[in-house]
Amino acid sequence: MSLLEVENLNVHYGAIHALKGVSLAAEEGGIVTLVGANGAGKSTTLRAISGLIKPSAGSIRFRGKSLVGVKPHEIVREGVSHVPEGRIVFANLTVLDNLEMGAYLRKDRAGCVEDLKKVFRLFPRLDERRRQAAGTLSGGEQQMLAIGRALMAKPTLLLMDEPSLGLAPILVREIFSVIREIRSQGTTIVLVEQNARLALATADRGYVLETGSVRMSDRAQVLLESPFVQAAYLGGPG
Amino acid sequence: MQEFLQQLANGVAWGSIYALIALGYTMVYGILRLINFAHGDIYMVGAFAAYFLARAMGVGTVVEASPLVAAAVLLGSMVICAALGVLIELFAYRPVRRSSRITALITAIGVSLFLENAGIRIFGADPKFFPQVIAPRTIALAGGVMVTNHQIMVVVVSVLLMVALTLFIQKTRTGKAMRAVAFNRDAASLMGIPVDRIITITFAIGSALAAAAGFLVGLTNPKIEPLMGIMPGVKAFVAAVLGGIGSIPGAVIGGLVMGISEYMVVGYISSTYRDAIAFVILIIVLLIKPTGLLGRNVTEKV
Repeated sequence: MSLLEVENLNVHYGAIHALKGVSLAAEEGGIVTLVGANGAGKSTTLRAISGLIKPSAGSIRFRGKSLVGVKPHEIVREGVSHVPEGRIVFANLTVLDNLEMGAYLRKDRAGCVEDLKKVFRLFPRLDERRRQAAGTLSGGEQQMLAIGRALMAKPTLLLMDEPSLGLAPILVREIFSVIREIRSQGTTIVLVEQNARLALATADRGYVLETGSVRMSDRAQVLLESPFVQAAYLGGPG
Repeated sequence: MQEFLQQLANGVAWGSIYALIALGYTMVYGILRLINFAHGDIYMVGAFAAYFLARAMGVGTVVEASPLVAAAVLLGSMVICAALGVLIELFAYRPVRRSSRITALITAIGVSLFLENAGIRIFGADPKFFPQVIAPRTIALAGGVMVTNHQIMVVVVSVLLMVALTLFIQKTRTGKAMRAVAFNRDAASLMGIPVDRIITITFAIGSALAAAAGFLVGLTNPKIEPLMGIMPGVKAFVAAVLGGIGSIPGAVIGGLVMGISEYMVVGYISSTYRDAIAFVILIIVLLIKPTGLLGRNVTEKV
């Protein structure tokens, strides 16, 4: 049994059929990436998994337990955290308060203090700016905060939506090395990315989404070498 | 000068009442983007709850109660209104939360009319005399300014409640969660924040503050009736807009400005225009600075 199993997921936005039977699985301890163009349904898939939108059909199972119809904050309690697209840090709260909100459901104070230290080790810049309002951070720092905030919930499964969006190449590399670091500590990751090359190079398994359906799925290395993926998403053989 | 200071003192006391009511408007707006038009009527219910509680505790129209009884009446009416606010949110606003904003707005107007007419039906349309929970005394301040002990109590209780509210919102986990939900509901729920419960708490606190205002008004203007919430409700709404709706310090400043300008109009122009000044201020704010004094310029995302 995989940690996360999504089967035949369908989502409608009003009359628009955004997901048409997406199936995917994430194995414990791995990185799965969803790549595809704008509007392919990558974010929609993540939003359905974390309960922000209700699927019209299909099943989502996490550790064998159905997540369909479960409220978002209950899904967090189950161990699924979601770093949303566009970061959406609480601009009016300090860095420290943002991280505290990430641990909202946790009761183990000692564990939280320990995890806070861990986040600051991962992102020393956040430590320097802990008393600053999150809205005053740069884009890269906000992305770090969004990731750190999600980690404070101590997730088993981390959903990441476009962590590289709008960041300078050097920051993108930094974020991706953190993603590998998070995985090495045992957290399973589902990564949505437009930067298909980097995503596939980091992931174990990949799914190519096109207009709401899975076009291809395979080991990430295989997809990286596939002529179709190269032509459509990696700008030709390279 | 003495006249000015006298009107200033009256205005600050009256403005504190507006500020307490305005806080409820601004908190609910901040978290739901909903103008809770029933809020002024919750304040009315607060005054009546205090009225019945005081009578039940044996406070007559002339017999003075002990401070302990006064505090019990105040807290009791706050609890009753907190429960009323929670019920209103649960049965009236939650079902239309995913609908358009105009639907929610019309629902709020409906709740307001419901409370007013239920009040007339249950309490009767005749004004009632609010029991003298605390006997009035006049105190002379420096410069020949005369204030009543009620006015002082209004200011003191309001300040205490506002300080408590500010500490709660800035320092506690629930308070921070309220700000997180106000900033972005989806992102808050992704952090494990139970958004529905936070909204419930917001309504409870806002309504309790309105009840405190109802009690304090009962002390200073001891004539209460079921439609008493309409005008202060509208003025407190203007106060919230003036301060920048969604901003808590803004609501306090807006309330004080409203109260002071009202008494300045009474003192220097004519009490006929007492109610008009609120709308003059509203028009000026909407023309010059629609986001209010402390409001942020929020661009709506498409």
